[in-house]
Amino acid sequence: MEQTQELLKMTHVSKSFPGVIALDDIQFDLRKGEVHALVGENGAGKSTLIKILAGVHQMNSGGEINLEQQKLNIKNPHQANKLGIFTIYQEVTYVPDISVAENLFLGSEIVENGLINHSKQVKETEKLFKAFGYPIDPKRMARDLNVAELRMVNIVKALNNDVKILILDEPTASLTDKEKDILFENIVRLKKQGTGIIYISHRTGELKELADRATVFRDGKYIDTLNMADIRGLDDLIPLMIGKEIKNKYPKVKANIGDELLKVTNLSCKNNHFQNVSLNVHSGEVLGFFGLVGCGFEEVFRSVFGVVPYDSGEIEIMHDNTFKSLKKNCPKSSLKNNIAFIPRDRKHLGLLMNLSVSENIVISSYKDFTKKIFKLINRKKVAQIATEYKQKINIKTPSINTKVETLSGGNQQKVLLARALCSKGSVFLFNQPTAGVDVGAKIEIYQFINQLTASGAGIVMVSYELPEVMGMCDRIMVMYQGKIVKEFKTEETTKDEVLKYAFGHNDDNSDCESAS
Amino acid sequence: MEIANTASSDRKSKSILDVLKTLHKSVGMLFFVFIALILVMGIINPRFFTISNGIILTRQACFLGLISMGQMLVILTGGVDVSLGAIIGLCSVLSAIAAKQYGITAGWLVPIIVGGGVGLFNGAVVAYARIDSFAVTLGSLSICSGLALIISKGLTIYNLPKAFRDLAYSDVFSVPMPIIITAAVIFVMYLLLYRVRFGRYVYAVGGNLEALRLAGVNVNRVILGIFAGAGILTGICAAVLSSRINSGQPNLGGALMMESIAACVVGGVTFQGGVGKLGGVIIGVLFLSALSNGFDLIGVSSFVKQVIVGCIIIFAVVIDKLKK
Repeated sequence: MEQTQELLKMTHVSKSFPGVIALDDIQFDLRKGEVHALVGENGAGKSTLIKILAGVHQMNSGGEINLEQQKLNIKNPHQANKLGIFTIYQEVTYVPDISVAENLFLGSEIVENGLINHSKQVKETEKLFKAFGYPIDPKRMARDLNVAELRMVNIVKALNNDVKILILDEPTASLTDKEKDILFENIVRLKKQGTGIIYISHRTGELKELADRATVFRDGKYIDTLNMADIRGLDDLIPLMIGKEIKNKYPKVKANIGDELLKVTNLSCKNNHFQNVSLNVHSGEVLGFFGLVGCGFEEVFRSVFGVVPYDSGEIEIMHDNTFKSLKKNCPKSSLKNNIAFIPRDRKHLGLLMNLSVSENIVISSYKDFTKKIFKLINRKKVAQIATEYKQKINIKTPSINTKVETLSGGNQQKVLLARALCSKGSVFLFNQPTAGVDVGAKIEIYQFINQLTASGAGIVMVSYELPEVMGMCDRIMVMYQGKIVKEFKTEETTKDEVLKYAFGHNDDNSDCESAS
Repeated sequence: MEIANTASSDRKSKSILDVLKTLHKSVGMLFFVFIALILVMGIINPRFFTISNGIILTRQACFLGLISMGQMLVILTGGVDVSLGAIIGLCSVLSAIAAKQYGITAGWLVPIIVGGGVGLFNGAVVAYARIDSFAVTLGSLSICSGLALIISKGLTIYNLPKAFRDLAYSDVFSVPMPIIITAAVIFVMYLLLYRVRFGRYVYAVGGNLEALRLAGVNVNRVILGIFAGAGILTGICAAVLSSRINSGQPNLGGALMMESIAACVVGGVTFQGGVGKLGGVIIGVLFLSALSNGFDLIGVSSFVKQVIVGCIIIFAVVIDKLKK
């Protein structure tokens, strides 16, 4: 019965890195034809587990991994693939300057007489994607693809093998319904063929639909394994994941709404596809921006802060009781005028990976940390303030001098938050504040937003997660294809209505451009 | 499991073992390889251990030290400056001409200003035209050596005022002037890299330039400062070097450019940028200088020396990488 169904069994697996124990004597098993969800906060050890199975990390001695009752020593990703273990990571992996076909066949090129047969690769690629119901031009450069398309390339590449174990880490992030449907169809197909699937996700809807069992990790330790049939929703898993009950997922605390802090008028940019965007933010208010992938809200705020230039329009910020116009394309002037920007792409746009937590926190505001003589850095003050923030927002790190690259995603996000706070902003622009952040840290970030509004700051939150926007924002602006289509007062609207406008409904006609 | 101790959480410990451990943590294996090298050299030829040889070694190391600290600034950003050697040649020529026409003080100051100027030019092209540092400095290299040859007509400029030699040959409390100058520069570099904002920005540029810009820092100004700094340090090196040979030579400093890169790499400053310590570079400089000095004492031919130096550089870098 269960013996013959057993595909993968991991026992007493541990993994430690300098300064941190990522996995502590965990166990995990996977049956043939099952979808086994792996849940837990960031830093719980999920990524480490899959990296061990994928051959990226080596587990500590003393652990055992058995595949179909055979003991394994997965030395590198190539070997993992040979064993039939394929992984689709959270971040899309691709080489930007070669074509889709070349990316698909990277590592397994079609070689004849010592040379790569490019035309055959192109033909094969076309065939494969057609069979998946997702036609892509195989000759396109990978850098021209959007995230959803790149993700599909990763998926097709993995599934074009004899897959014994498929590992998916947050596979539906940045996917539209079209891609999701194709992915789920294939998961069901693989299940029937006996492939075991490890699925990491925070989205309960998906887990309910696909998963058979769910295993919970917390702080690197194995907590429990449950049957999905016995679980009603994320609420059953959350206490296991964080070890404490969270009653309120979106702990919004309304603050007194005061004067206008930020005023944007008719902002347009042809290259980044947004037109005539106007908005204002008041002190104590959280303004939400919602839309579907491609609606343009990220680009709008990158322009507001000065990361990318815009063509026309005006941005004014309240400074010393008067409205000042902001310089185009100048993050420094934005910061000087008290706007802080917390980017979505922590790695590339936010953090200085080779520097410590404390250095990352104070980097924007060194003027507040210099002594008078020779403008030397006041290291005591830096350490003091950094420690304050570490405690205030609960940044999990061995010390403030640890390099940020070793922190988990949620804690890295908190470092960026601390940096924004340190620069003493009065307006905070959050680009997807809790993307890739675990439940516990999410709530901490929301509570922090409450503190910000209570102290009079104005917040703009740009997010693809509708519950988050509805839960934390006072007003919601819906964007569709680069234009603002509707503005709501959150308490006067419903999820369905907001979603309707996000799909392109406008009041003049009832045409709804559905993406599903 | 060990939880990593950070320097600030360690109490100041007096035991030798702890000092060694801290040294190892900060500059890696290199320090111990360096000690091993000195011992080996000394055993083969005991003259290596004499004070007079020590002074000769250290004084010779000063030139490499100055130019390497300049190179370090650029490599920290993930780039490289191949024009530094040519800057020495140009500055040497201009220094000699200035000394003859306007006096020795001018002779000592002109190279520093010119070095800084060329550095500023390099920095400006890298920052504003957003061109890779290797390409830009390759161009500067050609321009500077060409100018040096034009101005000097390819000849050595001599008959400088006698006092010009003082920069390289005078002593202060019996410590040679070049060593004093280099020590002062090291102190300033320490402040610059670790105690002032500029240093944090230098490391940040090497780590993630775009993130630094988003953090509101004027990245262009930082880049200008980095290359100008490298130029100034090279100018100082040119002044002292010209004073040593008491002439202006357009080809001065040719080999120093490659050796400066070697010293940085051996010292742990990798080309990826954002990584590397001042102490490491200093040890790298001393290492290469000791090697050279020791080989001279033993009587190794300088051609053989070149091969061995290359092997040791590769060896030192691989060992350092493996230890991490």
